[in-house]
Amino acid sequence: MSAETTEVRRARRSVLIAYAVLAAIGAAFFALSFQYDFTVRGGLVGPAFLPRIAGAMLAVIGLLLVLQEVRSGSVLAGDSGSDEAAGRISRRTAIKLISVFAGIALALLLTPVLGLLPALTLLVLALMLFVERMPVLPSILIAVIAGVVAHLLFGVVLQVPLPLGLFEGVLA
Amino acid sequence: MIENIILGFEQALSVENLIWCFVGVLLGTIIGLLPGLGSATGVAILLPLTLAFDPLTALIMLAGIYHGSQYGATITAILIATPGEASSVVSTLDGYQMARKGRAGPALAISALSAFASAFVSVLLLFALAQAFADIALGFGPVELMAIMALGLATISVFSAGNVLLGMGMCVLGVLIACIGIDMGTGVARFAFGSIDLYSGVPLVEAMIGLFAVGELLNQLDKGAPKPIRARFRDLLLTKEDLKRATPSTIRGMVIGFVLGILPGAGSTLASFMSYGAEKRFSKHRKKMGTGQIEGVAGPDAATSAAANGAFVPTLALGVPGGATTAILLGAFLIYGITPGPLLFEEEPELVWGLLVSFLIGHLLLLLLNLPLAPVFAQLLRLKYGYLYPLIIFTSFIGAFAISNNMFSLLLVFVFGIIGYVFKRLNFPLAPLVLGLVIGPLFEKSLVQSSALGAGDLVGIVAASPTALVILAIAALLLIGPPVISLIRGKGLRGAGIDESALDALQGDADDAPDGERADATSGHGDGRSSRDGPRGTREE
Repeated sequence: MSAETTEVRRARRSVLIAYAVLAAIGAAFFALSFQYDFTVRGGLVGPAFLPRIAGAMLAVIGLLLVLQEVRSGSVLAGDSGSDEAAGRISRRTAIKLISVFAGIALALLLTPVLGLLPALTLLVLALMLFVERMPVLPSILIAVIAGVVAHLLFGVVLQVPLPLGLFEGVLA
Repeated sequence: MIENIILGFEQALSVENLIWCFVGVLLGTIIGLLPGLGSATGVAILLPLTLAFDPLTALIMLAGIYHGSQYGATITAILIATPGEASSVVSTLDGYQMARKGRAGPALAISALSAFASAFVSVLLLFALAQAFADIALGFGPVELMAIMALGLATISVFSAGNVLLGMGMCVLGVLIACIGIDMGTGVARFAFGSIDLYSGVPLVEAMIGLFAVGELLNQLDKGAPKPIRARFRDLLLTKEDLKRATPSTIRGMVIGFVLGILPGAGSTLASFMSYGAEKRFSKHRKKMGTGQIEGVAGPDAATSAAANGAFVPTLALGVPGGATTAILLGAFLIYGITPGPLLFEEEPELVWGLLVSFLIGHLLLLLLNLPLAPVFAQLLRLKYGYLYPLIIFTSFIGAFAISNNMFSLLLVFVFGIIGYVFKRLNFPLAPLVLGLVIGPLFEKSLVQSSALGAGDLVGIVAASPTALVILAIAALLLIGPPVISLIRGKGLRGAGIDESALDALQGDADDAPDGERADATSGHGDGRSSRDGPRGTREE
């Protein structure tokens, strides 16, 4: 227990940075709120009232958290009060993560061109095949079924106007 | 009240609502079973699908998902020591030990039975108390409502985080994000930076899909597919001794759960931890707790179930959610054009009572589903994560698009997914952030109304309301109390949340454990590293 406590009490750089970012966000909202009126028409609450006060609060809380982390190490317990603190991620996981983020970003960029469903279906296939290295045939099958089911559910049943990209004219 | 309950049954027992209630609890159970997907994630992902429904049907389905995921989460906690929900963490202590001793069946069965019994009684209490709360709150004006919102923000900051300052920070961040867009008082566009998409603010559902679904999935990437312990149909039989031992624990858990559930922000996680603490103190087999005692499963699961129902008292009657999932459900109410609060009981009795009665039906369906089918559901745990998470990402983005048919929604899900991932890696609490997002606009609305009521003298109008002053004083005490007590006790300013003490108790548990695995299954509160070993070590890539 004591060893664990010592570990927690050591200031963690990532946590310090996160707290500093929180403080910076608060300061930014506080500063930007001066574009708007704090009160309007005889002292009524104006558009800057809440963001200015909340921004100042977040800036102060962020700084206090930095202080807390530096002085005694802060408690990080997630939503449950018992979530595991994240350990260092492996190189393999880091590559996976970057691939997933890049894949999603690419799919979003391709959506206006290919349409939403084809872009996301390709994303699913790419993640299964290249990131997770799952067998080819089941991956293709699952991705295609997902695309078809999504088309039937969202496009046909719910009548959501899904972007069709290049297929717009063809399918229209 | 009887007329209202009859009205509720009339609404909830329609064929359509029964079907969607069943679909909700089934999907909820499956979602709860899947590692990394909790009730908040499930409700957030599936919310877009319900937009085409009648509000009552949609809410019945979403509530079914909420309750179902609690049941499902316990199955994974018992079979693979990987809780699908934060509130099921405690079930890993004795539930997993029971499973390892070949008693997975009785552990699953008593979990379902105690959760059902507790849910049944707590829903009856909900019938009685929700209306009473609403009646009291009917006398509230904007000033008192503003004070209640402040109390809600304060309680979740204190209870959810284990660190009051951080909880407050996350909550305020949520309020600030909610400030983006057109100000409701003056029509001025704030922090939109010329983007028309931001004029209507940051949409709740997209933010929640990003934070909970995408963020959580990415956080789970380094964990492979779990290898569950087998549980067969014939193993589900409970002995008379099991039932005799579990009954008092279920009653204790139910009382603790319901009382804590009513408190905005306290939620089912705290209830399950406190119930386990109570079993350690009052159970006949308290000295053996943690080695696979049935009381350690029955009590916390009863508490979780009762708290999940109790959380609807503040959500429906005051418009202040009890936790992250009820915050999302509150967002769903707003999306359907319904404003929760005291007037809801007068304006939408069919909806309120239909929803409350559907809880009873949902829990009954869950019992019927879970008692015989828990081992079948457990087979889902064999589904490879490599297939699962790309499909969930796919569903999340399409679902987000379906809400407003806007490419901007996809971008928001991506951005909030990254934010959610970072916060989860850092182990920051997301519940206060969501609550800030949901309550922020409501709080500002009551602030503007109060200021108008006081002709600009906000302090004066608050001071003129003794009710508001008392509520604000309680909120201030909640925020200031724990750090002050912590300072007085000489613990410094590390956190001072109530969770810390609960976790200390559990740490004691883990330290006393006869074998290392139990400690591993629960040690996330220490430095958290060891929870990646032990039972989690049974996962395979």
